[in-house]
Amino acid sequence: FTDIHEQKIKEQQKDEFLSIASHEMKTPLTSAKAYLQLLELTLDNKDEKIALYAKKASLSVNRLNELISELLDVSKIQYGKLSYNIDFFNFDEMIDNTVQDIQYSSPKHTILKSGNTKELIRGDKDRLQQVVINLLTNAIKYSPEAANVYITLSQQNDEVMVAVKDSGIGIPQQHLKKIFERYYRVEEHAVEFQGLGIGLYISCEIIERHKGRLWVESELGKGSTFYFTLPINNI
Amino acid sequence: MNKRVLIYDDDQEILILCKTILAKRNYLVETHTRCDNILKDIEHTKPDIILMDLWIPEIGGEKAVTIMKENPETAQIPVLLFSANAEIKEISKKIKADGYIAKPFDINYLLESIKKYIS
Repeated sequence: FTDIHEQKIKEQQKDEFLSIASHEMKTPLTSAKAYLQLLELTLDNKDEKIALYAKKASLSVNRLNELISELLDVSKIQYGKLSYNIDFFNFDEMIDNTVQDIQYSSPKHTILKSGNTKELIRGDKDRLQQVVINLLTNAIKYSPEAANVYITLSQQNDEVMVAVKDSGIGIPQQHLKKIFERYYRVEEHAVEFQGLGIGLYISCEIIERHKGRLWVESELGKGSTFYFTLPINNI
Repeated sequence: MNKRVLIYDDDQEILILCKTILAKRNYLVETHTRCDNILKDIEHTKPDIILMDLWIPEIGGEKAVTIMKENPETAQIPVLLFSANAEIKEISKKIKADGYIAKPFDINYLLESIKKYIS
């Protein structure tokens, strides 16, 4: 017989650690974010320079919050604890809202969307939105000189497909499969483009959990297209 | 008549922050860094809405919300879970909270949520 008591205690400790870590790291961020926002609202553009500094600080706080969330997600994936809230949702609407949000925070690029699926997808809407956000922000980040980023929706048989294309730096062939590994970063660009190398790992986990596929086609110096598919009504 | 907001959070700084934000919109705010007896607090404050941190000492946010939602006299008061916990959406459904505000929060989202659930 296997004594699972010790195993259960370790599981509980892992759960508690993740909860405590989330709480302890996000509590000071909560104050920082809200006070910066209060500062912006109080200034009401009376002093442009200070308002700009407050805005930039706010963006950094948001970025830090995202990084903490990603690190916690990676830990949960390792422990098998990443939870999903499965329900039906309007896929096209989720994509539209996500594109709008990202566009608002990325004025230098234009996100051009085409196609639709007209489907209700059964899955975790927030987690799938996380994937789309990851792909779009990567496309923008790795194509700093480009004007546009493209997202295309389509439906084939019993799957929906999303393609996110950029005309940026591209990925060397030898890295194409490895970029979905935890902490993997293309060394040549690691200094120039910041990041932890976990966004694609998390995205891959989410898509696979939804019984979909995530892959990339890329040409160095010309850009990349990330694709993912999701089965319709199949979780 | 000014609406009353009752906020439970173990972090004093967040309570001061919320009070500052809500006072600007003429809400009357009562704050606690612990929750020993939610029914007694509600009786004393008569809130129009409650914000409840999941980590509140002594009884914890989940238990506090469950107690008030099981009591016919307090069940109708809207309560929003207020937490950085990633599972806040699932927990709020489980304990029948009326909604949630994930931390860190956007001030406008906080204000809109309170307005929505009070009305």
